[in-house]
Amino acid sequence: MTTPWPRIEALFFELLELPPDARAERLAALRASDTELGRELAALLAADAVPEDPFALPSAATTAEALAATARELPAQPVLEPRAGLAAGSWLLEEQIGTGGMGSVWSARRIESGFEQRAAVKLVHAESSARVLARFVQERRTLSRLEHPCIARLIDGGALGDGRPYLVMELVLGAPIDRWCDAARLGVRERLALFIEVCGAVEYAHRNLVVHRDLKPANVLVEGSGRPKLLDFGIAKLLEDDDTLQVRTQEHERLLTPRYASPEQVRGEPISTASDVYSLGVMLHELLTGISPYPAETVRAPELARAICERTPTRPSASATAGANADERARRRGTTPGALARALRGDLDSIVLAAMRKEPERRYASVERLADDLRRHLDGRPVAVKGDGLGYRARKLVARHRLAFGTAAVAAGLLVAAGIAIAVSARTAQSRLADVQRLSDLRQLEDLRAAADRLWPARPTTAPALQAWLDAARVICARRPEHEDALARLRARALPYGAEAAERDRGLHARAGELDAAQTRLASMRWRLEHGRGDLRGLDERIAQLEREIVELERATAERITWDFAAPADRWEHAELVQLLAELARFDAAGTGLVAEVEARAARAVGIGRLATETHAEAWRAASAAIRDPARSPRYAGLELAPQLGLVPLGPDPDSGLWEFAELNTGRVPERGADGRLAIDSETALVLVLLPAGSVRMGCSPPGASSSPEDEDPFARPDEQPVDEVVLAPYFLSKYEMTQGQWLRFTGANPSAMLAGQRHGPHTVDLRHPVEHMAWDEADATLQKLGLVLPTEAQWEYAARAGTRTPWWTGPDRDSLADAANIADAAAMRAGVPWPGVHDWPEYDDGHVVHAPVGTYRANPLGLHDTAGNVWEWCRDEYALYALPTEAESGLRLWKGGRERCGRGGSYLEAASSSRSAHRGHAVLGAREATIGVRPARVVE
Amino acid sequence: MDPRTDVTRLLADWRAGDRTAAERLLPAVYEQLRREAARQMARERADHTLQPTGLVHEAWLDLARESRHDWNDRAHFLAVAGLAMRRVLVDHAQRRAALKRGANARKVGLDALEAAEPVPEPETDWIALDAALERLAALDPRKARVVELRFFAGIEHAEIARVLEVSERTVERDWRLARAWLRAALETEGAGGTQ
Repeated sequence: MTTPWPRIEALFFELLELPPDARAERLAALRASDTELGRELAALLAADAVPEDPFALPSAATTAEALAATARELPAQPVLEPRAGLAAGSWLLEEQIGTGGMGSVWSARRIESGFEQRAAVKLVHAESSARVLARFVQERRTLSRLEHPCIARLIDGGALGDGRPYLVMELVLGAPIDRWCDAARLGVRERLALFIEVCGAVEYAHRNLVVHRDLKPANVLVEGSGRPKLLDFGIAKLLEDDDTLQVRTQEHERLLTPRYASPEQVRGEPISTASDVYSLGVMLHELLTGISPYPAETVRAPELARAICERTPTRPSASATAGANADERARRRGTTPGALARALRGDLDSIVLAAMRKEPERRYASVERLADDLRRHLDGRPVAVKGDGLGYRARKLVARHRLAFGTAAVAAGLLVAAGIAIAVSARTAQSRLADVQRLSDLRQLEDLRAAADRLWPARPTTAPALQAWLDAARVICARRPEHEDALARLRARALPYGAEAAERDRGLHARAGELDAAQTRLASMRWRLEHGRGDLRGLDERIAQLEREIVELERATAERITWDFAAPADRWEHAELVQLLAELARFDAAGTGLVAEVEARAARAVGIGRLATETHAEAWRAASAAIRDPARSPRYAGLELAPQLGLVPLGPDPDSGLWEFAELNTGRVPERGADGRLAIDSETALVLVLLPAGSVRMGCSPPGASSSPEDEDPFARPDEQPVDEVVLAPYFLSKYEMTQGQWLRFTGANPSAMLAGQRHGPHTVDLRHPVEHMAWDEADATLQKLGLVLPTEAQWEYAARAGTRTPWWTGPDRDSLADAANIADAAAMRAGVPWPGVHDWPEYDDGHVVHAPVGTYRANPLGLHDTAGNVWEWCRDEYALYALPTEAESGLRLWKGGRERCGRGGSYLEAASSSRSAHRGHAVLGAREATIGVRPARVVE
Repeated sequence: MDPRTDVTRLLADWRAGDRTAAERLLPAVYEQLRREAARQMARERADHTLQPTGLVHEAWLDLARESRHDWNDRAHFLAVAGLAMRRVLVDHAQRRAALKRGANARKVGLDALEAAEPVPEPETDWIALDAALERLAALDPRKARVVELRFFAGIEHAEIARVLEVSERTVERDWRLARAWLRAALETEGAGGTQ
């Protein structure tokens, strides 16, 4: 190495820039004059030419692995016994909700980050083997790649002080799917619809190369909302791991639930997605029939294992009528054993048996195919698994209600082409076609429901679409008498209604229980009369009375419920017509149906335009003139405000001088009292304040850390830094948090956890209290329907600061908050609810335990109430760093990909430091908390 | 002394012009990164796998959280972090090499093997890399720093340029030559056969 390094460097780059021929020439020349230099440069160029890192230099992944290994070597700590109150990271364990071979599951609560959030925490036993730990780590890895509405979500994970790992998962409050279906008395179709959702989740996992391996009703919980959630990926397997070692399979065999295990799982053979298909088949069989596909005597594991591997499973239709409690099982499905067997015979038998075939390769090739067939069955289309016979397919073709034939001739042609074996006269084809078209109404109803959900907000621009919707809906509703006639005609063809069938229907009737009870009482009275027991006075009369009641009940319960037909197509058509008529009745119900709701919405859409241009035209002219005039409204700097649809000017606030407007969809227009202040009650509408354009310095700095002392805040947290100046266009922001009354009036429901009517400490919650406990996307969707939006964090902080730079808008010290904020305080302590935030400032007393009616506390200089405390207010932004850029005008932080959204302002549950103007709360999208509400904003149009 | 306050003070010294502060910072930052690695391993969240960039960034945030800081310190911190990460990984490799030698002496139980994490393939020879980097530093210290920051701290070129106070183009060129040089050096070494 005699050549100096800088020369080597210069020559290296010089050579790199030469074309290959010239490079070789130059290199040869160099080598001729200095052999070693030539060799060294040739080596460097060769090394440079190698595309990407095949040599052993670290990549990000290998560095990470090495780091992970280093981290694991850190010393372990003593064992911690799980108990209520133990902290797992920022989660506090509450109570044990489950336990098993591997570990325990606890409900837990997170309070640390401001929002209160509940979750399930899964811990392994302290004495767990390395293998159990490895499986636990695997579950975490598995879950981290799955994000699906029907799979319980992984929220967090970590290790206890003693190094034991834990998982924090979405807390699913629900019942196992089989129990839920029975409790809800779901019929076959509803069960299938729910099961298809479960298939969707399993299919999603498969597409992400995860096999669940332990599908069973206990691992599929259905929430109150009716959504199924898949749990427990503890023994799930990643398909790309090729370590199908015997050890794993044996271990696995001990853990899985044999009743739902596939033959290959029982035998310890390799497992694939087909194993999940099998387990789904068993589950489906049980959901449909209420019993296992293998005979009841095979309850013990060895026999069951043999049955799984050798015996042909019972067909669902046979299971429907088998066993001692067939009646009860059918009743839980809203039907009778016979009718259930008929519903299952054919498609569903074939589907279940195909999913449960012994040989994995002969089952459905994927869960998606299984679900497809179930959907086909529900739609009355031919299922794939039963590819047999043209007759079968033709039958389906006739029955298919989604079919829209162009003309009767085409229909008849198709039927003939399909080789239908029965003679079809032109006349029957004609009437059949009418039936088919009529039944497509069911699908149209579905489409209309979906469309109605999109026709928001109610504005003149959406009015024509709403009108078109109503026209279409009325056409369908007008056909109702036709459907009723068709039903009557069809029923005339029904099989005879025997005494036995009548007796069975009586049992299915809603008032069957009353009749039973009355008959029992009557028998008892007659016996007493006969044997002269007890008080006999007036017994004759009471018996006569009861007999009259029984006659009445018999008449009421004599209504025919089940109808049966000789032709399967008739049977199907009957079921469809009954459903269609029930749906139509609900759709068109006076006052409560969707048609009535859309009529009201359409009227409002038109009315709102008229309100702006006619009814409130004068008020709007005056408002625009006052706002435009710099002498009267200096803060608006000559802003030109056009009339805004759906808003009515309320004049300026006497203190802030800012103009305020009522939002007409949310209630009655409030009035100003003699002092110029608004009178708010449970009926009044949202009040939006027009905020002038301006800029806000978001965030703060710890003392001494910034060149600008104004930004200092001793409570500054890292996510509030660095201070970011954001410029905003004018916008509307609600003067108060949205109330329970306003939300209820518009959506028809009140999601709040601290619900109007509940008593907390000295106060009873009423409709003036803020609405809370809605997830971020519910808040977002509801506001969109109203033509409103969630404020951005920048808009929120601009409004909350109201020009101040101090930690609170009230001043630099928390004491300044007195009478201005509802936070954790002595009132809560007195009521026996020591909110976590109370210990910081136990002397403070705001008088309220939970939230207070909006506007109870002092307004800030912009006339806004409760920006500090009461409830957190969801913001539009994702929880992201201030270093990221913002959108012009709205100040929205430009960042996508996180799962958390921000909330601002603290709540009745938190300490004063959380209600600082700069403080940022954050929670995952789906979080619903009794402490998170909403303060709507609106774009200036 | 708490390593965090130590880091803060040393960073301040460095900013004030004390160039030896970087060397003295090393043990403190090293400890900080080790802690951070342990913390992240314990968490291993869904959206969060252990990445050198993330690790260094989090270690910095942690430090920032605990102390009053100036955001410009970040560049200084990163400059040390590359070196610290290099030490973390090379120390670990040396310990492992020692363990392996020990493990051959006695039989390792089946359980231990199963619980073991998969070994990265192909395995990086951190020790050889470290030695090669040392020789490169003797020739051209800046190029060795670029490699350190890029390999060990996972920092992008643009930020390396800020840390080293050179242009981004210089970083690109340094990287290209250093990479070729290291590769050539390691190949020669590999042929010679170190453990």
